[in-house]
Amino acid sequence: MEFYFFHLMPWPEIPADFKAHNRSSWVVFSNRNYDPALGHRVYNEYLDELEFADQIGFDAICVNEHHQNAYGLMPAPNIMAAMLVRRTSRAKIAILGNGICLRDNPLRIAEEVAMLDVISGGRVISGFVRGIGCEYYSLGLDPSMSRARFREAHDLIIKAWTEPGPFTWDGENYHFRYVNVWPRPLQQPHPPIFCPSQGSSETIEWAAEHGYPYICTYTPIDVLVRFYEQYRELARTRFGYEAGPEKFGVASMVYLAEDERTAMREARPHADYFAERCFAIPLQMLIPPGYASADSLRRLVRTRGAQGASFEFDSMTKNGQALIGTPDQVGERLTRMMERAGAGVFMGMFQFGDMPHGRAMRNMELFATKVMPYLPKTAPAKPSAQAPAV
Amino acid sequence: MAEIYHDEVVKLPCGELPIRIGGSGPPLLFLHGINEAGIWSDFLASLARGFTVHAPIHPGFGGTTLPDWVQGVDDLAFHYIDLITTLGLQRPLVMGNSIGGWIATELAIFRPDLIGKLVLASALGLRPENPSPDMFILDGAEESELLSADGKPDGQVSFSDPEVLIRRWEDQAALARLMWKRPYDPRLDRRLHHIAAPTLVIWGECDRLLPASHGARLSSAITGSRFLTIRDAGHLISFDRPSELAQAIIEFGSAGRK
Repeated sequence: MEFYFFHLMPWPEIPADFKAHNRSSWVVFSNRNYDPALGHRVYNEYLDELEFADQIGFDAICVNEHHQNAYGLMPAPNIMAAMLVRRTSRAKIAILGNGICLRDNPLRIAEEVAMLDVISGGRVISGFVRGIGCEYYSLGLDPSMSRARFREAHDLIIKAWTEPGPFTWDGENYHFRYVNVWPRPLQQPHPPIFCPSQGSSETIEWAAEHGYPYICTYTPIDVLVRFYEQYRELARTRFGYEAGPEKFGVASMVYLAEDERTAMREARPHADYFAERCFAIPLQMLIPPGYASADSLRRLVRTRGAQGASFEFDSMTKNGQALIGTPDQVGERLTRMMERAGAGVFMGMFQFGDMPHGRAMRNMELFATKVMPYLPKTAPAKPSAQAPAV
Repeated sequence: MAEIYHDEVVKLPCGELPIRIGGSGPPLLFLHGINEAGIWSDFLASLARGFTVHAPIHPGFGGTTLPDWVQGVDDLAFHYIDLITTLGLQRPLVMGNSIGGWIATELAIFRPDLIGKLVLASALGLRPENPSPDMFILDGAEESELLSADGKPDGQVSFSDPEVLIRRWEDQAALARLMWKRPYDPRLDRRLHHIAAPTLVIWGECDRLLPASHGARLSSAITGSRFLTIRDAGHLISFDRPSELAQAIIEFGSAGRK
């Protein structure tokens, strides 16, 4: 059982009435609303929280990539990882992930992640993502080419890390005469690859094919359990291996207090801020044309409605997207969820929405001291009944 | 009867192309615009009274599969060059609406020898003086407002119906290949002088995507081109003023013909 501390680095001052003038807090929400002085303060608070997570026993600290938005302010996750690499010594640094098809040259990511891996002494986990739909508006990239570019960028980066250069890469989407990445990564054959996703069939299949750990974010536990069973089934029947708990992660928001009412009362406004302001994304921008298959879009619209995702507070606390309560309550619920999912990694978001620094730090500390001991620290979680024995 | 049409699938070097053929008279190749793939509209029915209309569906539109080889407008221009030669159409009138107008423009640049006359209605392709609005960020109702003459969404369409939403999304995915990265071709104005066919440029006076002044610029960049505006029409002239548009094309097509 491993505990990952995930941060989004949200902008904490999105006005309550911003939707009256903006279709989203992404892409078109003017950067006039960004106050650099406040930015200076919150960036440093957020980095303090990530460093604190290393000190209090989290196994990994996680950053990610989003562009031109108020939801998550890490357009360059490798810069964040670079700061953490030199300020921490124990936890792994998980970049979840780099949008490998968002750059014209994916070898820039091969270089940067290799640098981080060498400097950190092999503490890097390298997540590969396509970026959410909004990214394709912000970066002017054709979403209908996203999956083809993602797969080729992945193949290119892995080859650049594992085969001696120089070699020529001659693909459909990328052509490079000289591929010869210096430095090479310290971890061999390469840093572990993680696949965070929102559960499209195509991505589940791709992750299972490569045996990459798969973390479904913003997904109710019942749906998540089905997705992971799909992965296990594919691994077993098509790709010839048994997928153990180390292949699966569960991601939730967490908020703890000494009594349940206080926890709910304190968490709710920050969760609502996240749902109503940070995640204000119309379906058109979440899943732009061609970003997923028509079948995936159909499934999304049928199961989650035209909004694409639901972050209504009461349903999140029931379906496992948010774990809110006393340490005992959260410890029990988390244990059950991990067992149901057959997952070995728990990735918690302990600061969300406009939660202030002090509250986030107290929340983290309660989790480290009172919830972590609930779960077996080193032994993998017991897989669910349907899962193969490990 | 002019309204009678039939569907065929034509084998071309890049793949199969579904096409609807109807009407009688000299050959016309119709390259469709937005939201009209595979529809035998009032406009096409009117046009079929003066022409044998050939209306293919652009790859990826109208529920067809979007092939990997479609990477830009020029791919479709060459696809339709293949169509003209495969069907043996004799110097057809080529008419393009909106995105179809961009394809028609490139076709006329690449193979001026193959086409008799050219009609460009609300054609994309030329760089606008000011950036045009982004259709891709709009939902169905908002896009309908933008494309309309009166700034109101189409009352006939239920935009929240999942199947309507998904069909539009699929058409837009095909459109993304052609114009997501840049909704025009910066090289086009250097190439327009290759167009040899007599050309008619038609614009809706109320086009909110690209104003009629843009159409006038396009027309003036094509040697000997005529420019015609249509009242009470937005970007989708063929929906707003179908018979007027068809009549203008029939007259243009027969001018100078013996």
